Amino acid sequence: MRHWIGCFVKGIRIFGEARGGWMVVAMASPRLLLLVVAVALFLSSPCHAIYEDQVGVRDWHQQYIGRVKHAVFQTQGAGRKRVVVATEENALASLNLRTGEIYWRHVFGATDSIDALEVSMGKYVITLSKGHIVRAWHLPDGALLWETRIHANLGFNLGLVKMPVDIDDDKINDLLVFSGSFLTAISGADGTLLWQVDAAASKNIFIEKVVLPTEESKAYGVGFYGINGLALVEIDLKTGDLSELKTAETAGILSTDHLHVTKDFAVALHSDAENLVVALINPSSESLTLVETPVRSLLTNPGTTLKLLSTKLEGAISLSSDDQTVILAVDSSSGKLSLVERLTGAVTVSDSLSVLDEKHATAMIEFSVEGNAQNVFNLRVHGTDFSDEIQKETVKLPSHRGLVQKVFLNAYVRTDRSHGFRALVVGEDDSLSLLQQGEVVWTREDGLASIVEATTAELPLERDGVSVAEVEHDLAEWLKGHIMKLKATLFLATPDELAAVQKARLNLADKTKPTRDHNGFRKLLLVLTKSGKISALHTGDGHVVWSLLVPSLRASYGGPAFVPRKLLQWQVPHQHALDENPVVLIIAQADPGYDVKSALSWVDAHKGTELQSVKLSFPVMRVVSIPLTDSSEQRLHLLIDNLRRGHLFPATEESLALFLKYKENAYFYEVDDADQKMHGYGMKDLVDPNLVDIKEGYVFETEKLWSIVFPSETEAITAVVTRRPDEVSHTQTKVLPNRDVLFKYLNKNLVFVATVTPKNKDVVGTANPEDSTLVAYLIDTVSGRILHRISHPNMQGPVHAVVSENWVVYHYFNLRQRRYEMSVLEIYDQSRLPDKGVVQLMLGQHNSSVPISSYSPINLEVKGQSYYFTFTLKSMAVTSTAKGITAKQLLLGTVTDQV
Amino acid sequence: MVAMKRVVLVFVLVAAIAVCGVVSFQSDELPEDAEEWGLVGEAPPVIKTKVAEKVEAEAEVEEDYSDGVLSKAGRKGARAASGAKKITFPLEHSLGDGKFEQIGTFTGILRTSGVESGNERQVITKLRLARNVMTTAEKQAFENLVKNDGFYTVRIPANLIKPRRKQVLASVKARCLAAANLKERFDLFMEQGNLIGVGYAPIGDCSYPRPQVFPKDYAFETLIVAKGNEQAPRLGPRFEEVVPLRPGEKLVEGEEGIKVVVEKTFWQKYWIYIVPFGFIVINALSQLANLPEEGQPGQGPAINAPSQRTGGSGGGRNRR
Repeated sequence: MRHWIGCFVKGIRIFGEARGGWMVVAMASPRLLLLVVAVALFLSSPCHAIYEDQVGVRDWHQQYIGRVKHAVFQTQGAGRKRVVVATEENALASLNLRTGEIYWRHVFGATDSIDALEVSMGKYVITLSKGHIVRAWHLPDGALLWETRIHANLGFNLGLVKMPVDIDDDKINDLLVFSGSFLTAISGADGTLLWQVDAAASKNIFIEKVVLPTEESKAYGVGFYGINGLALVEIDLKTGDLSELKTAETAGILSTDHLHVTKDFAVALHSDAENLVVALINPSSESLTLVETPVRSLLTNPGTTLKLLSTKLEGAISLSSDDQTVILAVDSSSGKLSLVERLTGAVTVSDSLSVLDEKHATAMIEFSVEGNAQNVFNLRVHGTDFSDEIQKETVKLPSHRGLVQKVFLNAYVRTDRSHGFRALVVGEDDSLSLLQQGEVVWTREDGLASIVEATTAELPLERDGVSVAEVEHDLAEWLKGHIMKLKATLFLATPDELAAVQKARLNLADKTKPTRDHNGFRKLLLVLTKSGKISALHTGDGHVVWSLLVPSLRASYGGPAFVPRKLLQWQVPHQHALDENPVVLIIAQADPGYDVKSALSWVDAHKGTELQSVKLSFPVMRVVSIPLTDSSEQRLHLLIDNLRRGHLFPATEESLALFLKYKENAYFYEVDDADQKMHGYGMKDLVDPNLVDIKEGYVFETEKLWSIVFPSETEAITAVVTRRPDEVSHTQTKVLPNRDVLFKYLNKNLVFVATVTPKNKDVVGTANPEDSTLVAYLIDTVSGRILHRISHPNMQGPVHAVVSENWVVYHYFNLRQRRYEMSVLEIYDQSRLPDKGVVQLMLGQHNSSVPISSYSPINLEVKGQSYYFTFTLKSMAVTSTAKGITAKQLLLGTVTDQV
Repeated sequence: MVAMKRVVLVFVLVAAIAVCGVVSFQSDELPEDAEEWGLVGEAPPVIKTKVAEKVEAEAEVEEDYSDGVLSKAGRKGARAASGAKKITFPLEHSLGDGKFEQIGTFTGILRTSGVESGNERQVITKLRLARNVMTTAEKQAFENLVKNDGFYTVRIPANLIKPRRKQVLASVKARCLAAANLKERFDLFMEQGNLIGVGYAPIGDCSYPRPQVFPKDYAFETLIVAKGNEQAPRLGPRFEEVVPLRPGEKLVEGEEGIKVVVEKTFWQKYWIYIVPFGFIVINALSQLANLPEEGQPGQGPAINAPSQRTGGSGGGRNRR
């Protein structure tokens, strides 16, 4: 429900105090992701701290775009060679084709997906968003030139076609947008609407595809006619006039998933996958001619899951079934189908690329050999009728890139005037690589644009005798390094040599050492991405230390694919830090429709290898981290399933014995967004271990202890925020200027909930200040007691909040004043007021060693204050330090991607 | 000399009268000023009224609690006509087995206001609980709960006016309740006749380890507190930029909201005092103007003095 997208990773270093320092690495994203991992230790020497003037200086900054879904090459002319890409994270970017660097990048809103991408006149990038917004961007610098909104039917096939005509005589060819029944012509120069027709109203056709025949100023719109027919309409591009509908029907019902259309024919598949229907487009004939071919006459074993692929091929179609891909050639005059190629295994076919007058080329990438570190792929480029093989190359990709998911083909002229081909491939881990002459020219780790969750791990300790930071291995290399440095100082070095010297210096620098430092500033940042890949980034310079496409989470034939959900610290060795590595646990959810509902995978955080994995027969709804570890320092976790039973991991006798003692104190809560409720649960009895599969953990029954029902007419939950479970508070009191003492109410089970008026929750600009209210709650999740409730009239979300120690800071919008506000609530325990003196604090009734019970009566004082705050926030976090001494700082990520 | 003294005396007198006049005026103005200054440091008046309301609500409930479980039907009937209505809703409990049974009935007064203005507000006050007597089986189940250190759970419908499916739950360790001799406290968080959450707790401390004691007689003592109507103070309009103020204008937050008030100039405010003072001064001066006729002889030497001095200086020159 909540999905995290990160489009760039930012590192910020902020200074620490003289005795101790801390470092913050924050990652932000267009949607929401500012995860702060800040750790500090007491230091012995102050020289390791960061100085005040280094505050806010950025350590490193990486920009990503996400999984590419459309790519258009711009290699013609004398300008810089580039490729324009649109991604599934709603980013539009222009990349340098030589290096893969981003020339410019725009990240659209979360709902502003890019449906089509074209480059017009060699200098305009045209995008179609959600079928009704057409934008033109200036190719060299990415400036927005114009934006037009048009009528559209949402949820239908969409497309953008560059028309070969110029309707408004401005020397720039115009554009045609089709979305469902609407056909719209807009000016290529300024986006003015030229004409619009509703094909459904006038001709009763929902257009699936528009193709341009060779003759001028005409186009064909092809769509389904009822459930068992195809229809074609001729469009006059100059005026938008539609000709009479040509229709043809078949006996069976057609599958409406996909319709393959080229300028000579259209191909559809029957919904029972028994017959293929080819409709011949003949401008002279009165009606459509349909040719039906049984699939079984072409394929001996068509499999069970036959479907048409949406690849745009010229003179051919591609079908997939089970684990095979079939390419069938279509005879454009008779409609006869013939088998061209049948490929088994993982194969990806590119769209047909028009090369030279009527000639086309198509690329296929086949997976050939699985290696230990590298996978081998065959890249084949076929000519027009698939009979000849123009180019064949073998490419090696690192195994953590997985299989190739998408391929975009581009042609270039070699030095010997022959045609060469290069391919842009999207890996299983959402990375983007350019292949040319059998080599990987560059690779972008664009999976890092969609980070699901992140955590940190300590780097390995520097062992005696093994200096990991040693870079010079022999005398020759040492000499070479020094000569290069000399050259650099004498300004004789080439840029490449300069870069090498820079790199060597960085390697020598403390910051980028791959070992643990004295203060714990250097860390590994473990990030789990949407594609099921876990990567470790070094906090010093952000380089990827290791990557793993988690094997047990990959889709296998006949099994479900897994969507990664959570990344948890499983084992953090303190006593065994020298001989044991930290381990993280990945929890993933399976695609619906399978017996397996979720999967667990344990990954070694130093080596980047999967240690173990388990497939579970229950979905994991939430995870409770128990503050207990077993003798091997594995943390106990309780996974809650959909029946609200707790499954204890690790499933060992030892952890069971530990947990049985702790059971009384184990509680968890859930937030029901749909019903606007919150429920709390406590643990009950252990289900007999003989009755359950012990691989799925020891099972505990739970009981519902409390419910809070928010009035659904007036309140809708918008934010639920808790304290960091590992947060440390240094002091339990606050001393006022008059030497009075206030006791902080430090409750680990405190949760902050914000609700807003539901009808104004999502729609911007419709809210009326009079009937908008934001209500803030502080709730104890053990007893379900509402500790404080305060309403803010005329306020609206989005709400960003941070809970730390005994305070909450939240950020919201003031509708009446039309600006953002921030409020802070501080909670103090009044029941301890008699213990005001220092001696009483240490020895009195409520000293710090007395446990606090959620079931004891409470007497709280909540102090609140509000402030105007002009920035619009995307995320909010608070710094934390090892001992909690350093003053806390709020980190605010603004919409302009500043911290 | 006497005349001079007189002049000074008259002036001091007049000045004293004038100052006295200003002082008495200031004492009139002070309270308003003080309130204005008080606002800077203190919470705006909105919150004061809210706190007062909350205290009132609590006080009412406490009073109800003290005078026991009794319904005064006659008085309530009279209230119903003036927008108040008696409502009842059930209290259910579960003794650890997950099954809920009704164990008592809450009664309260529902006050509805602002129906005509379309800004309807509903407040439930005078809440009290009539608990049913526990059966032997229930007592047994409760004792089992105390033995097993289980949870005693209560349930109240979320919609207090028209109880429906949605229920609010709260639990407490049965041992805590037994240790507190069945003194219980309900903190009801309500908003417009909806119950959001209920804090259910025994009256008394209940830290771990919890002793195993059984209640002597199953007589519950109930305290009910209604909560949850606190409103955040509105931010002061001092940062207001939407309406730029002209010099002399200031914003005043009154009952009808914030409005711009043009501040009076000094003259507009104080003319009523300055004009009489002016008259007095003019009168005094005109009296002074009449006085010199008496003191004419005293001026002789004064007139002669310059000639003497001139002579003296001439003598000086002569000596040169």
